[in-house]
Amino acid sequence: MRKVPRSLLPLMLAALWCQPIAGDDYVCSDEDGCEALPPGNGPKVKFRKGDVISTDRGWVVIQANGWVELDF
Amino acid sequence: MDKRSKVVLILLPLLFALCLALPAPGSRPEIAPPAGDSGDPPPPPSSAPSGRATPGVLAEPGSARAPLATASRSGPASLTAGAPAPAPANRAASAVHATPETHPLRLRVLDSLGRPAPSASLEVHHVAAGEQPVVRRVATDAGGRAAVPLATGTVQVTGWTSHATGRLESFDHDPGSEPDGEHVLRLETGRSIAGQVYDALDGRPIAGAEVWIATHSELDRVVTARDGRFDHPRHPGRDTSHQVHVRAPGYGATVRVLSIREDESWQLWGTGLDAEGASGFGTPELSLALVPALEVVGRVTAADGRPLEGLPLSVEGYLEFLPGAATPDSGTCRTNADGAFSIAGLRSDVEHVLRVDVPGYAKLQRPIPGDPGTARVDLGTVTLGAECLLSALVLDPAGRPAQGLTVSIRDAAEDERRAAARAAGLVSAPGAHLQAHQEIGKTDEHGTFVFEGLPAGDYVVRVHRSRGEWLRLETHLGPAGAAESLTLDLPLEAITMSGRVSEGGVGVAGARVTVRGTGRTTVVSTDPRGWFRAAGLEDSVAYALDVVHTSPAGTSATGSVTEVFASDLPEVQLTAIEALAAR
Repeated sequence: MRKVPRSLLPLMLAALWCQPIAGDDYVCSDEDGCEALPPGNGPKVKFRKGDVISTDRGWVVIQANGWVELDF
Repeated sequence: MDKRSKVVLILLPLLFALCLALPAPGSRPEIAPPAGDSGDPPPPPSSAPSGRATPGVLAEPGSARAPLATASRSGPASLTAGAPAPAPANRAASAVHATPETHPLRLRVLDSLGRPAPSASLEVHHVAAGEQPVVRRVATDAGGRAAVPLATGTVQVTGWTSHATGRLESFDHDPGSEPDGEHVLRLETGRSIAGQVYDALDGRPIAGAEVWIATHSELDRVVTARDGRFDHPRHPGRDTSHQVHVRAPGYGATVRVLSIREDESWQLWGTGLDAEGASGFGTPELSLALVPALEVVGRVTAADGRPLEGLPLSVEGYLEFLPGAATPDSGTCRTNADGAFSIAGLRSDVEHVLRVDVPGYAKLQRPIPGDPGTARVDLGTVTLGAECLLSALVLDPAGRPAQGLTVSIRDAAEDERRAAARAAGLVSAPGAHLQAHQEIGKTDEHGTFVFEGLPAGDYVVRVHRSRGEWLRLETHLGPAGAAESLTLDLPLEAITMSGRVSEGGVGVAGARVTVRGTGRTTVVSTDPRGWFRAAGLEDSVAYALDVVHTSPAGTSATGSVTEVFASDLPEVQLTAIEALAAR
């Protein structure tokens, strides 16, 4: 076991906050639609209100972008 | 009788009849929309009538009693270019309300070179406070301008000409703050897409299918020719992938995702399920398959056999159009006088759930398996039982009512199935959470909540905090019609530890994480990305983590953390397997 330098802690905290802790479903709730980054390398995808994506499958959502977490 | 009396006797009935024929003041049903204005609101969403109704017959004022229940699909199917959707049956009743004051929304449309765009089509989505969304379609004048009278509300505008398209994202239409404001919509030259729509089962081309780029415009559609071919010249292209929607009479709708880049390369994404992807350069050539539609029929009765008339119900499903991404494939209707219902136009290859949610009755969910090519599913007689009620008072660790906490309830068997699937690293289809229909609520200012419409059975109730579970309780409700009241005492500082197990920087799926402390041991598994969550821990207790992972090849790796607090981020890094923990 090794100690992690304190300088890395903010980065690690940020990573924990930005990544979904566990995979969940998110529903697009914005009339303008929502965007998400697909698994792997691909251009962002525009979704319609009511569409659902699963972060378990590698989709990356931005919470402020109209996505609402569905599960608890 | 003299001649004068005879005239009076003849005229009196005529005058009486004339009075009956004339409308009373204020009884004019509605004002017709201006020419070229498809101002009909989309069909109302499927929602149960507010308040409690007498079980048996549910009918809204002014509702038409159709020979068989009327059905409507959700989503884009509720709008059709150039052909306004049928007015809702209760429209005449709603027109009695006073018309809100309107002010012109002034729009100016420019082409990609900044010149005025005359005769551009504009699609204006408008939502006024407390009103249903309304879509208006207008055209610009010779100067590229248009004005649409709208009440204060939220507006979204899409515009297009023959080969250009553009969009203004949502903004507030508030004449008080911008009396002379003019909103400028600049169009960008679109990319052409071409292709053919065909029957997924027999390969025959489908004529009359509608194709549109759904996330950019709802009304800008093209129709396939007799050979099933189409040419849509207005894909936005650039750095975003857009959805291409297709539907046709007798078929379920489909969605594909298309990317067109600046270098003219394009990619039609495969679903990973049954639709192949394609790619190329130049004008995209798309082969788009439609599956024959499914009609779901049945009859709803009360427990005593009485048919339930006017009942709102829905059939809900999700079409997975990309791995991990899905769009609703749903329809709604109301039962007729015999309690019968019919919802058509669904995808036959998608699993659906019949959902009946009516005040006074236990909510009902009936799965409908997907089977490509099945034209009709008869669910027979569906019986609604009496509802159970669960109310609870939630107290925080100091014994005070806990306000504003999220609470949820789920069928115990479903909860167990989901937990087992998660532990095994299985990933549910997107939308399954919605179809499983977990009830979610919040505690009020008195710390209480109520769940209504529950069927008798076993349930798991949870109280949630910002990032994790605070309290979990198993309870039984029954028999049908029972009401139970609980007091939930939240334990002190119960929080969830979240962390990740990795090896060489890569998350390890399916690792077994044992959390030990204060005589209690919790065992959880990591998800496909190496993350785990252990709920119900105490904030001030030091825990020990032991991690074991056995690969499919049989090699094992272990790791441990001797002292970690659930709310801390330990400064620990393991060589083979590392574990981090955080609140």
